[in-house]
Parts: sequence; structure tokens; C-alpha cells
Amino acid sequence: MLKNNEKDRLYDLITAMIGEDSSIKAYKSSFNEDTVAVVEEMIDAGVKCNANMKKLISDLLGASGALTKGWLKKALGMAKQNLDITQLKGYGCLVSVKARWKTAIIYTTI
Amino acid sequence: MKKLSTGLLAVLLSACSVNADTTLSFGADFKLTLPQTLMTGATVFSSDELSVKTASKQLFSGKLLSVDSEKLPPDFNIQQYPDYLFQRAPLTNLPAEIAALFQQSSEEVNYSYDLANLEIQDVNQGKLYSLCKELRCLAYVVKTANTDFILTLHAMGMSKMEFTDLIKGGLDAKK
Repeated sequence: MLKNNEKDRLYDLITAMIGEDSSIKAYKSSFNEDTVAVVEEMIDAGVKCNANMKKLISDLLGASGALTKGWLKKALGMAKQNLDITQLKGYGCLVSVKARWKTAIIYTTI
Repeated sequence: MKKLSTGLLAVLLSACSVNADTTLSFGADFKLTLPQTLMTGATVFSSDELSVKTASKQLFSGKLLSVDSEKLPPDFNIQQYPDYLFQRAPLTNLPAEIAALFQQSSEEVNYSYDLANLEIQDVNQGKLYSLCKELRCLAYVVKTANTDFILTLHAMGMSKMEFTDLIKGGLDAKK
């Protein structure tokens, strides 16, 4: 079960990557551990789309270490409050790639 | 008389269930019929795509792609989209910015689905490009006669055979 501030932070991360999205926002209150796992996968895969994603990941992880499964859940709980997630400057892949991840995120909440 | 009515009702219900398949309509040339077994207890939802989450938590989802929806140049041939994405056509013919989008998307697809798993099959008036990694699948349907749209579909929790059989069977179904 995610805390409300974790849901907010997760939504901020999603919008940083794929932009503000009302269809995802409509499901924000149902974000859960599965949503975190899918967003983690989206970030891992998103490195191929946008090199700035690596910086986002290292900022999220801080000095805490390597990318292992479940890293995002830990990062959500201890992420720096002043993290600049606006620096991604676009997703960097085709619209259909973004749409696929949007669906996967909503799927976890249903 | 009561027994006769009950029997008649059972026959009628059974007759109804024969054609109880559900059709996902993405466009005039892209309709996909899904079997009742998949739709029983399923949730249909929309994001940018039309999506189904089955009772056994499988995901099946898709949308039509056009040059407009993909923000591609007006003279881009949408039927070549899978060839560029799957590295079957050189990107050098494309404007640099578009080539970069396809290159990066191709790497994302390779990471998520593994391009080595790509298969191309003839389907109802077109071609099916599909690839799966573990239980995640991605596909594109290109219809020869439709130069404006192609269909993309993806799934989670499905084997490759289940995924491609759904698409091939669904496209061929007569409604």
C-alpha cells in the first residue's frame, strides 16, 4: 500500500517522463506496488529513449547504489524533495511507445 | 408445459452464446473479434488505447497509428513504420530528428521485447509483425489496401502463440 505522498511523487515522475496525462491522473488514487514496478520498468526501458533518464535515476538513487529490482519503491520513500525532474525534456521515443506504457500503468490500478 | 418452456429457454440461451464473441473496433478496416472466454469477467478501459484486462489479469490492448497520431511528417509512409522500428529498413532516408525517434524507439523495443524474436506472417489482407519476450508481446498489423493507418497491439501475461492466434483469429472473424 502506497502512502499518499508516494502516489503524488510517482505521478510526478510519470508526468516528467510522458507529460501531464488526465487518464493516468484519474487512476492516481489507485496507484499501488504493481504501479511502482511498471513505472520502474518504464524508467529502465526509457533510458533507451532519453539519455537524461540516467541522470534522473542517479538523482533518485542518490549515493545509495546500483539498479536492482525494486529500486524505485525504495527511492520513492527517501527521494530528495528538491529533485529536479523537469530536466528530462521530452520522452524521446515514438508516441506509440509512450501509449503502451500509459496503458500498462493504468492496467495495474484496475 | 413447464419442462418444455425450460428446455426451450435453455436452447435459446445456448443459441445466443454461440455468437457471443466481442469485437474491438479500432477502425473500418481494423476490427478484432475476441472470444467469449477472454471477455468473461474482463474490464474494458481506455487510455490512449482501447484495452482489455481479463479476469485472469492478462492485458490486451491496441490502437490505430497514423502519421498524425505519431507526429510524423505528412509524406511519411505509415506502412513502413514497422520496418523502421524493427531495423528492417535503413533510417538514413528519414529526416535526422525522425530517424533518432525510430532509433531510440527501436532500442526500447529491443530492450522490452528483443528484436531477435520478430516474426512476420501473412494475415487477412496484410502482414502481421509480432515479437514476444517472456509473456509480453507487441505486434503491428499492416493492411496492404490501407495506406493511412496501421494497427498496433500489445499484451501482457500471454504466450506468443496465444497472442498471435488471438490477432489472426480475430482479424479473420466475420461479424
